[in-house]
Amino acid sequence: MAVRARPTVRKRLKAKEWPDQPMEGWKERGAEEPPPYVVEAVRLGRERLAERYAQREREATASD
Amino acid sequence: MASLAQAWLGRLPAEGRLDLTVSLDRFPELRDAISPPTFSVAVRDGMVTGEGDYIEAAIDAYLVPEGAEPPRDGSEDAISCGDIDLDLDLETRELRLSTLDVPPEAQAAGLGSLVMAQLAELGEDLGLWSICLEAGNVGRWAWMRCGFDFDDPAGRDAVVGAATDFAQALGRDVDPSEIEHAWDFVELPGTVSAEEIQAAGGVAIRSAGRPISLGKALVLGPPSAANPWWGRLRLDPGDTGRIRLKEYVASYGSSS
Repeated sequence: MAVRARPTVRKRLKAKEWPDQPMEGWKERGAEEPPPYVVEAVRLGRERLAERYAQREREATASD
Repeated sequence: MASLAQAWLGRLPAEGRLDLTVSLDRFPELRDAISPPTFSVAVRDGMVTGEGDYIEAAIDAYLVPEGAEPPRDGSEDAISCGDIDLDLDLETRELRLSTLDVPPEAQAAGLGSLVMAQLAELGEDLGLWSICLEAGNVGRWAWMRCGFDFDDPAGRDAVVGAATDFAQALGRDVDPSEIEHAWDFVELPGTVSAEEIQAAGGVAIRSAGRPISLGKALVLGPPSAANPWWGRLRLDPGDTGRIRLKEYVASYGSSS
């Protein structure tokens, strides 16, 4: 690869030290369900992804 | 060169670099991929650089829930925020995810897998081949469910070895040595109770009263130090891992 004129911004993954206990989020706090803002963010995100997947499907079909 | 990578190059000034602490809005695709909907992004450090047909980006940012204040580094406010740290480049065609944490009370609700699916879409649009990370803590199980596979034989051996020992401690007649892919753990039949895991000397796993899948018990039961693994999600739309990620995000909440 050619030497680039600019310094790289790339980093390297390093092994981490992990705590002993797995975290279970809202369950850990004894709640019955996640906070409403989390439920809403997940719902919106899943909707957007579903639209995205459908769009990709349409594009793939059109290019066949 | 992928059209999105081309578009990013076109947004760079003549000097070929932009500081993301002030210019993240020039890259809305990156902003929207790293954060869940309704969250905002507070960049601590980040840069996009590029020239010719090459581009690379790195970003380290808080994920701020709606209504919360962007934290000052080191302040208590940071506890209520998520955190993401990644870099990507068109030379290796990898996205390397160093950190993806959601706010503590938001964990185990599907936000992490959602962001991962968003990152996979971004990666595909940029022409990347894979996402890699170190799976530790609850990620040892979560990333298996999201289609990540073992990136090296040593990681696979560590996970399978710890699972074999823990299956014996549980008194379960299962032989994990046949397991080839990380997601094979997800397919192991059977369930275990939280009490059985504790009786076997395993790490406590909250289950909200539901049975815990055997695969989850074999991966999260051993201590975190016993079986962290390096994982890779291949971004080819036809790859098994990518398909599993899509299916998992679509079905989140139907099982634990």
